Amino acid sequence: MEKKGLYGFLKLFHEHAQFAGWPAVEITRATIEKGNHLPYVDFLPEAKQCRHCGSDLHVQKSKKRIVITIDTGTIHAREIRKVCSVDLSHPVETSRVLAQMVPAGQRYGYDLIVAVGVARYLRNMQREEIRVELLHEKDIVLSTGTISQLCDRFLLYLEALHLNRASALRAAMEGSSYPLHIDATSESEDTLFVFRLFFLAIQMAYCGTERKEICHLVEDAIATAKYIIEGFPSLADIGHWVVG
Amino acid sequence: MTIRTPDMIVQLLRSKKVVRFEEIQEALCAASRTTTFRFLKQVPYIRSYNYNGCYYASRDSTIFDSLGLYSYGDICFSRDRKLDKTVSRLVCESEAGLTQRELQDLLKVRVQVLLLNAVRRKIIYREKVEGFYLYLHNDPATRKSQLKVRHSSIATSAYSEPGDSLQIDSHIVIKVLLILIRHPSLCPAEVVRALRGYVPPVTMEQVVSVFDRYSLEDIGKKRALRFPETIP
Repeated sequence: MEKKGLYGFLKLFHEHAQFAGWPAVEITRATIEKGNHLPYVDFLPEAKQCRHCGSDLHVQKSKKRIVITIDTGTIHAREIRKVCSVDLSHPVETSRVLAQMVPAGQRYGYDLIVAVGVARYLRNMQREEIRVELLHEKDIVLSTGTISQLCDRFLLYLEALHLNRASALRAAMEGSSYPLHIDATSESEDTLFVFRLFFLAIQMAYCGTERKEICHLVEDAIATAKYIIEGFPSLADIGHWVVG
Repeated sequence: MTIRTPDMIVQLLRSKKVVRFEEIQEALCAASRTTTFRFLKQVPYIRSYNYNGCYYASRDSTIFDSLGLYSYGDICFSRDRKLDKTVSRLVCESEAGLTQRELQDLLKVRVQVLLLNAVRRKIIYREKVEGFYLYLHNDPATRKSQLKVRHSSIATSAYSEPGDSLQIDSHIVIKVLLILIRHPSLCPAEVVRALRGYVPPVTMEQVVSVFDRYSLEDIGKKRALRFPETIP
């Protein structure tokens, strides 16, 4: 059967079915074919010629794996790899769509990693809660151990993205804005606050749990941060100040 | 000698979502068919309504969806246990009755014979609407309300002001996409043919409009990436 475009149709179908209020179980059931538990999707390389010599490509091999994403649910992805017909040492061409959808050799898509990471770190959900939510809303079955792994991967990719975009972030902060990280921990009645400007802890304080006291403390911290920023307008200057 | 107990089957059904009869026999230490059926009677279980009922699962009311169906891959189960009862129930519970095609989409199996049997045994009623049989509740009052809803949906789909752009329901888009997921290379005319059996019918204009709106003919077309600077 011609499988051209199946990925696009699946993605569009998931969008419309969710919009129409279909339950996740029904969406999965609708896409399953008889005798074949999951839809089989072919991913061919977009390139038609070798990027080095311009020669024609021929199929080197195909690789199958189960891929789970939020967009398409669970599918059987068959990646068809092509190689230069003249010189086999030239780079192998693979599907860019699949590469952007899921990390190489893995089964969980980037969108699923982000969904799990956001649920864990921004919505403060626990592993079991994330597992139940994914099962009910997307019909995706994950173990709590897998969720932990996906959370770790999320942090790793976030760090990589942060480093990759460091220059843009630095440029954005060179104006009047600055990152001030506020954290607190509480034991018995007192609360320990830590305010971090870049990597520098600028203030630590014990205070009670009164809202007024906390507000004062945050205001003080912001004032101190502003003072430092005005004195040392660039990140490098602050580093010199700390080392010095 | 091993003492067989129904707990052996319960453990098996807990460990696996779906099992075959042979696996149950194996769990009962190679018991005969008769012995296996005797032990199965003591265990809450359901049998698949497709694949000749060869798959078994633990009977748990929480696994069924709003339609009373449960599927594991392409293996389907119903809370009514039997397909004929499921068909009758779905027809009676539906808001606007169901055509054979709509029931087939829900249940993933052919239902023509079961529907005809149910009509002959006066469990459900059928009436021709827009050239297709619509299966309805046997109670005249419920049937009337089902027909009213169906006729209103037909009127809504047929009504369009001259000069207005064609109204495309999201259900039509979903139907078209489901056909394309199974047969990605079909053209609009073939999609219309594959969508026969729905009331109101899906028209050629609607399918062409869906194709145009979502550029379905372009989806998946692989653009040739050429590298002219590297070509000698």
